[in-house]
Amino acid sequence: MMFDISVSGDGTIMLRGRLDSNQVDMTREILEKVESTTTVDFAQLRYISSAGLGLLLATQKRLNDKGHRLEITSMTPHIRDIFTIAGFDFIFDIK
Amino acid sequence: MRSSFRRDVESLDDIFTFAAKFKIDSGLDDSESYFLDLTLEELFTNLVRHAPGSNEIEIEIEMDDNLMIIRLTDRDTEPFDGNSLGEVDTKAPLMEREPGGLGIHLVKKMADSLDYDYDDGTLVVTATKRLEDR
Repeated sequence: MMFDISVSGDGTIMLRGRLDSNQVDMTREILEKVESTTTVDFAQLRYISSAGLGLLLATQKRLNDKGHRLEITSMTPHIRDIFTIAGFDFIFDIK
Repeated sequence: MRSSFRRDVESLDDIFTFAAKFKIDSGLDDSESYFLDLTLEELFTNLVRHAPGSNEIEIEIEMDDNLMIIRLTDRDTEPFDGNSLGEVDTKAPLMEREPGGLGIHLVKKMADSLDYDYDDGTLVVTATKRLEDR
């Protein structure tokens, strides 16, 4: 399963497939354009490593400076485990 | 099973393909498969970025009863010990969090063991995980 990132009409960012170290450039390109509180839909995301987590962390810190944040929805159980082990459940709004 | 991979993050696709065969042969479930891919990615990219060298990196995955053993061998390189990296403070507030060390942190927390052994120019990184009875 490859990786794909897209932005829907309401601004929700949708991640699909496997976000590994080879896919961070296209993800960074999208996340760098985020300037306000934005939903990131994880429903179709099957894998994320520290490379993707690092990008999300950098984005969350940048948005926090402006009073905004990323809100993550529809996380699969395996990825929720990764977020918990990384301590990201404390620093992201997970719905 | 064992294979060697070009010392480049772009080798990850080939590494995941290699791991896919092991998953099928060993009947790994989704959680075990995630652990295998994550461990391979984090340990391999760590060697590519932090252990200087020009040789290919050898990866071996095997099952010993219910123990999955993942071993990366890097020849003609410098000493490196991922376990010596500082602990990640997962309770730190957002603005104090940094991405560095997160990959090794994940592997250490999910694996049963993670060892770095260096001898005469060869670095061997071994992660193990005991799987559910099957």
